[in-house]
Amino acid sequence: MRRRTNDGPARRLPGAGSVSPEPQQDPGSTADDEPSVPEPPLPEPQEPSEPRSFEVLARFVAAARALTFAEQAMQATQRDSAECYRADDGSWWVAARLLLGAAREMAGLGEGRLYVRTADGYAADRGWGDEPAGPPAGSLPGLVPVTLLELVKVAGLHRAPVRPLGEACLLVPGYLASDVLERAQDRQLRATYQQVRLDPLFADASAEPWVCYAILLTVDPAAARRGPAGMGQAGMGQAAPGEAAPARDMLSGVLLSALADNPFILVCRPVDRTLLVAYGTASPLSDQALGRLVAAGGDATWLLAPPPHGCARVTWTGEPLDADGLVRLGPAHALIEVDGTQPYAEPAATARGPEPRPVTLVPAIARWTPVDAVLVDDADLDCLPLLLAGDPLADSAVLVRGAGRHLLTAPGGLLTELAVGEPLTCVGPGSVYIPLGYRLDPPIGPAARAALFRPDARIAQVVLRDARLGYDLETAEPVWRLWAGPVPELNSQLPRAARADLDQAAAEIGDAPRIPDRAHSRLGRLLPQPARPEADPSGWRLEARQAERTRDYVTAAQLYARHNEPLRAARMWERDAEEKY
Amino acid sequence: MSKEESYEQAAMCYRRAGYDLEAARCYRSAGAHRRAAEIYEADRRYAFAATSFADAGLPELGAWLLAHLAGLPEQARVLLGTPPLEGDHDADAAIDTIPPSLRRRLVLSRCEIAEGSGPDVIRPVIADACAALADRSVRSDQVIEEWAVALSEAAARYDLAALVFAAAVRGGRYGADHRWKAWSVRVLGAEVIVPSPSPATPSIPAAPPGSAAPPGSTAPPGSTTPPAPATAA
Repeated sequence: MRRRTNDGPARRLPGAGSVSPEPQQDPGSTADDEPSVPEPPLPEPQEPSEPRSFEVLARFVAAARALTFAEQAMQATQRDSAECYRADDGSWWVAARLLLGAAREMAGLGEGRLYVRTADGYAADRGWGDEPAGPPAGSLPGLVPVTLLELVKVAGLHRAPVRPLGEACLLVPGYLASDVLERAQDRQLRATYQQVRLDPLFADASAEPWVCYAILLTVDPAAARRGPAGMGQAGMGQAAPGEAAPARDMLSGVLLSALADNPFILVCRPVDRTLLVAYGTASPLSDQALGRLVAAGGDATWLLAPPPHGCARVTWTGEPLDADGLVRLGPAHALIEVDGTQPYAEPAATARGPEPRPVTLVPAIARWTPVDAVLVDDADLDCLPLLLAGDPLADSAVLVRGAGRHLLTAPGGLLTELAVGEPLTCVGPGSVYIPLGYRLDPPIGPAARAALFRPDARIAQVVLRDARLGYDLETAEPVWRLWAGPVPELNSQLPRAARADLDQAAAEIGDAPRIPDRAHSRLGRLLPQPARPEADPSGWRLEARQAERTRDYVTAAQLYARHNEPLRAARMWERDAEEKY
Repeated sequence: MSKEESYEQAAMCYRRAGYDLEAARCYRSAGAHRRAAEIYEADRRYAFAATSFADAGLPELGAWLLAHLAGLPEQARVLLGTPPLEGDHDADAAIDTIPPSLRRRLVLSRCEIAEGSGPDVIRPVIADACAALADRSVRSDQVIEEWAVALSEAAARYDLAALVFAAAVRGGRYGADHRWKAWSVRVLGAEVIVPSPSPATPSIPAAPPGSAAPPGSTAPPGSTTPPAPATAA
């Protein structure tokens, strides 16, 4: 015989009812050991043994209690069904294989009587201690197998608390469906309807079917966000006393209760679309177990409702339709043809395509943009000597005079901001400038700019909000001419002896010495004056400027890079990239 | 010369001229997002750098900048959710020796620390980082070691940082011992003596996740090679 290793009496909590410890339980697994009591050393460790399961029969006088036991037994054994019996004396029996302690608790919950299978048959369990070892009980009454559905039928539905639902299903006759749907739309609920066929659930399927409409109600999230006017709970008043304020996406329990009061409407609580349970009721069997029963029966949906509503197998017909289709519209809502009064349509003969809008300037997102030129007016010209005289930029900058506004630029760009004028950046292709901080609108790419502005190597264009200015680059003059005037006339310094000889010769021939305009040959013919100018150290800059004007930015960039002007080289490389498409 | 090459030339010239941000802008226009990201990172413009790293197909690097340096864990999480761009011109972006999940987990752990989580949240990812660093068959990834150490520092778990260095030394990561010493001097104010691992020393299997040493321990878990470093005051 298996003995309990824990010799102490089972702990009984005050007011907690009986506790049924499992026989052969591992002493180390009890959670309520008291560590303050020192345990005597065990003589030798014992192998922990698994709790033993027993085949039990539980007898109940009420079907609902038998169903409760079956529900717990199925959960404990992870089965989808249970073996149920009906005895001659009207009692209900449920068979299961359970741990003895758990079976005692479950049977005790429903005031049932437990029988444990022994070698000789089923023996009545005394409710505590080891499994019954005595002789089997007297002959058990005759048991007739019944289905779990039969047990559900007899057990019926009990009342359940009225709670808000996320979705409700109303079963209504067809002639009431329109009114209910309009009522739902008044409450700004989302409603769909679908015809369903109702077949008997407990009788043969050959019985006469019935037809009604199922209306599915949910809360429209958009309407719920708009405020309390749309939600169901506000439409029917405040929440019931004792009912918590429903969430915005839940149908109010007050609304559902009001609908359920209508005898022509059956309000149901849908469970995974496999079960429709009358609102405010519940079966002793859980929704999950009922859902497994539906699946085992091969049906789509079951309807469970207390009398007088009745139960049925539900077959959905067609597709759910939106409630808006049932709204009766007035004559003004009839569809009409396009007759020319519509503002979006034009007559085909006079229809015009999209009209291009003029290119203008709009403020651009601020980012660092190089300053390639400056637009200055006459007053600004007076300031330029103060700003640029002595600056290396003055050596290369050029001024192109215009009518009132002038363009100051430099080969490779000014690349510095001056305190006067309006800074410009070159957007290309060629010498097309726009003010800094602006962009062309509509945005156009290099190809479109080339087609619209027609860049010319001789003309620099400055695009303003309301004008486009052109500057002839051939007339560009160095900016230092603004402050550097003519130098004194060159006075050739001859030695005194040479000057005396010249004076003597003039006296002899009677003519004053003068400087020949041009040199003469030995034969008295004029010789061309050989030009021997000094090499201009900034000649490469003119070459780079010419390359820039002809949009040969690579050559210009290489020249600047070769002469250690990386910023201008970078600007040339960037303009070269910007003009490629 | 293509448009991208012109932009690259422009970027190089801008760098020569000292205009780094303009260079980064041109690098981005040229499709060289990683180089642009490195410039932005050096200039402490972490948001721009993170975007550039993400465009280069390295969102983890960008997210780490946001989480660790910029203190923007939310934006880092958003960046990690962006898929890398296709057709990137950076060849370096394709190099990824460690599965990106480890980098991603390090970044996410850093985000959690930045958001105020407890230091224990980093233990699993640090254990995996140690396992990856100690595995000699895995190619070297300096980022894992660096991020794991930084993550441990951010969580004030210097013992875990020591475990990371120990794993890197066991895995034969080049210069790991010198980095360990420098870190110890910088953070702990004490110098550690790290014996050089013998080349004949076989690879030590990585510590299983969750077997990290208790706080305060600097010895590698479950191993004696290299021995526990001696700390010289």
